[in-house]
Amino acid sequence: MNEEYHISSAVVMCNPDRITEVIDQISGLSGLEVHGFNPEGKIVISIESEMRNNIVNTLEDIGKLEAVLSSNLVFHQFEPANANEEVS
Amino acid sequence: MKWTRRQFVKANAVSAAATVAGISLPASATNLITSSEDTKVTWDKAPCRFCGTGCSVLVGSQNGKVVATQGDPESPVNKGLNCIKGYFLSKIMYGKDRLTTPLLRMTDGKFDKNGEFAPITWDQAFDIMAEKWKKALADKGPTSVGMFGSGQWTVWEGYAAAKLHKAGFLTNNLDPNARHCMASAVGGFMRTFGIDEPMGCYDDLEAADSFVLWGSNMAEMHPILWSRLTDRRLSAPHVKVHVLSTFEHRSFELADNGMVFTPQTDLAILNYIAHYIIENDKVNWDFVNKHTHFKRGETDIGYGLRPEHPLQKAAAHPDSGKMTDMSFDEYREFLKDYNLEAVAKLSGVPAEKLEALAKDYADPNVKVTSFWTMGFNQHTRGVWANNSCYNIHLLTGKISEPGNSPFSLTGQPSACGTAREVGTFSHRLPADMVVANPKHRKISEDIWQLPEGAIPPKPGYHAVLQNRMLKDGKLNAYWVMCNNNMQAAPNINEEGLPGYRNPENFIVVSDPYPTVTAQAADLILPTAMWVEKEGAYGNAERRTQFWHQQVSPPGEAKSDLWQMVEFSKRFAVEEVWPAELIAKKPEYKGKTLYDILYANGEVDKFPVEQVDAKLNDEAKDFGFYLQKGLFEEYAKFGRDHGHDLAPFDTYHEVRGLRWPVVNGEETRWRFREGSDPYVKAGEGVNFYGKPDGKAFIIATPFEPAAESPDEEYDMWLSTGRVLEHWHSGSMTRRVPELYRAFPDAVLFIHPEDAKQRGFKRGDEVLIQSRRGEVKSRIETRGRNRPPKGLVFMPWFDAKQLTNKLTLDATDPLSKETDFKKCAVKLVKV
Repeated sequence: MNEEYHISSAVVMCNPDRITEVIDQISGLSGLEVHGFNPEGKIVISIESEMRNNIVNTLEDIGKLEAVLSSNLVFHQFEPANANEEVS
Repeated sequence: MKWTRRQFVKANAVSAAATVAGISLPASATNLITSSEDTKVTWDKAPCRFCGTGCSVLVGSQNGKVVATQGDPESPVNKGLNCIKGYFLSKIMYGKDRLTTPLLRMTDGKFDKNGEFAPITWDQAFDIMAEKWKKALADKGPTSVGMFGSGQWTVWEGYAAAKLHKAGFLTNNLDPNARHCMASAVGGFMRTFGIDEPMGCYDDLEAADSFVLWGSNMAEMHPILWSRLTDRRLSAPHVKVHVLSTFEHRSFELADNGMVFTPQTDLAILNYIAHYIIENDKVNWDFVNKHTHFKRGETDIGYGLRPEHPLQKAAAHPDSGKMTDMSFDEYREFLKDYNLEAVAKLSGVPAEKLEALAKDYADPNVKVTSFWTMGFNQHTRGVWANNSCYNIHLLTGKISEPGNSPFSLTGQPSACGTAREVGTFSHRLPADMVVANPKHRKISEDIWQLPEGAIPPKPGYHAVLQNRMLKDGKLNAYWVMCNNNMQAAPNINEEGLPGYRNPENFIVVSDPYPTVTAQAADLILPTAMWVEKEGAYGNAERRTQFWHQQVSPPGEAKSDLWQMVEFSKRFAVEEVWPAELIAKKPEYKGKTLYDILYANGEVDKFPVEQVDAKLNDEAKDFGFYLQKGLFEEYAKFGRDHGHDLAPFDTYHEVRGLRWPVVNGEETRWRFREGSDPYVKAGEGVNFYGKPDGKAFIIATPFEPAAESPDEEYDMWLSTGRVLEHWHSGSMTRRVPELYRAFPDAVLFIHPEDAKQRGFKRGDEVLIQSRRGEVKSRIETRGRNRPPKGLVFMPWFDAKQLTNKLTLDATDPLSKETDFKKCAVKLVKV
């Protein structure tokens, strides 16, 4: 049994003319949240997942979108799935 | 306000990404960070373990295990970003089949080449190794022992290996796997400039107006540099991207001008561009007159095959790198064959696309950066391709300044810093010196405190020759370290495997995992990897980066450095050196190779107390700061000779520095006044690798590939890589996420080629060459789209060894294999 919870963040770069379209498309992906973007075509996202391979699959799905030029991860941490106590 | 731990981690993650992207988020999101108590994880920096980009990663460890990684926001290379492989670095050390004890093939408790692997101690392992090495040395002399090393070695590991072989065993039979990847680049640099490694740096990515990718799929293979290039393309609309390849890949998605050419015709395209520049009067005459010479390279030089091979016999000037003077007019005449019409026809690239490319190179107002990797280097005319690209940059003076940069990218993390710079090639010594040059041997013998005449003058066996010599029974005691050559080297059925299993030979493989190579060995040694040891890597832009040991290796695993230095204790100098040589240095009588090479008063002069980290297993075991001693002795070779490195301790504090580092300042553009301290005031540009400061423009023609498709073997095969896996996959295939993302290799093929042969997507197919066969599955869609007549297959999959198919034809000058071109046919299973 694999009881890990994964949290990661990434920067997606896309064709700036199509940024709203890309944000619409990726917002629907499971565990994914869009946190911000800029007019140069950069989008900040987070991906959360309990399944170990979801993060890679999600990025692969993003990479396949026509207007997306690159997607790179920034941060990754995995936690035991039960370690979600309140800390402050 | 109450926060769960998960919310804190997420806020941290988002804030890191926002910083990297230069996007400010609402205060509520960023405020989370300040109240975060990420208490238990300890963070330290390390360069990534994978490609030659040299990204810096923050490594988080907890209870002796690496649990998190983050792109290093302070790194000038990756500026906080990570590619998917770098992102999963935390998991490469924790594959389930990690080796933790030495394993020897045995039957009834004794070594048996046909026995089964059984655990033994390090003492037993070194006992049998020493016995086999001493027997080979006694029977056949120093040419019967050797090592195959790595561009993934740390700087001090490569240096320790060079000393062990060239100064200890008195053999030049040491070659790195970088021979398979960078040798043609080295050959190109040495012929054109007389000094190795790129003159430019990654800062060119933000300064160029036009990028040209020659045989490089940066989008998948150098994703972080690609994201910087993408950033430049999107933020400056005038910027153009030209991509050349023998098949369409992900980098074509950003291309303004994508070109698919017939394999091998890149040589003709390069000459066409030179032709265009000259015929359109775009030569930068001031630059050319001051800083260059024209040379004609010898032609018809063969294919680096065994001497009895018909292609080798047919060559007029096999292996010749000879150059003769030529005039500009003769060069112009030579290029007449490479006019637009002829080259468009030969290459299959539409004329208007070729012209658009040539125009960017020719326009004095467009700054051009050329990038290349294995498409140029793994090429039977790889040195020529490198030279021809420099020709274009030299004719236009577009070199050694921001944005104007011919840039050879690197595939391994320390192909530059270790394999090339410390002299682990069979013909080289540290700091670009060569064994064949008596002055260079003298300098090395002085620094290494060796008697005169110790270093053998004849180059040793290079990578491909090592496998041939193993098969022929001339190389008998052989150590493979930090690479997976049974999966990497060409033509494994006919050369590599018979060589390893030859009963005359004893093969040792050091690796963290039971790779294909380890399984073909007689003795396997378990290796500590990456942050389980202190290390230093040098990336493609000459940046030297250090890291501390951050966790302990599992079980009995030991670093490559420890293994080599410990093994040297097993040899009394009398067992290795001839009596005449010892007589020249009588104080060495009765000493071991360890005393002479490592405990020599220099390497052992820094005490353990200088180690500024919790862990350093090697310093603890040997009783001195081994890494620092090796580095400082090595740095003597390059200081004041154009390869200056900073003091050891500096590198632990900074995010790397680009050599030459003079008076604490790194060098961004070499050969250029104001940027490179070796160029004097008033010189402007000085290619000081050459005696008169002038680089060579070298004329070489198009010559065909060693093997092309014919009626029977009717398709080109190109091998290569995918984003998710690094090289042979020995690390990335053990990361569950990456394994699942791309579990098995596939054969990328044009849909019509598949249909014509009766294949559907997903069908199993047998790929056959004249040398072997491999099963794979048909892929007609996805990221790679080959033209008709060519198939592409990645080589990361140990179950589908593409090197059963490839031909061991090499560039005759660089001895690097052409993994991009051989002929195959497809058969239904």
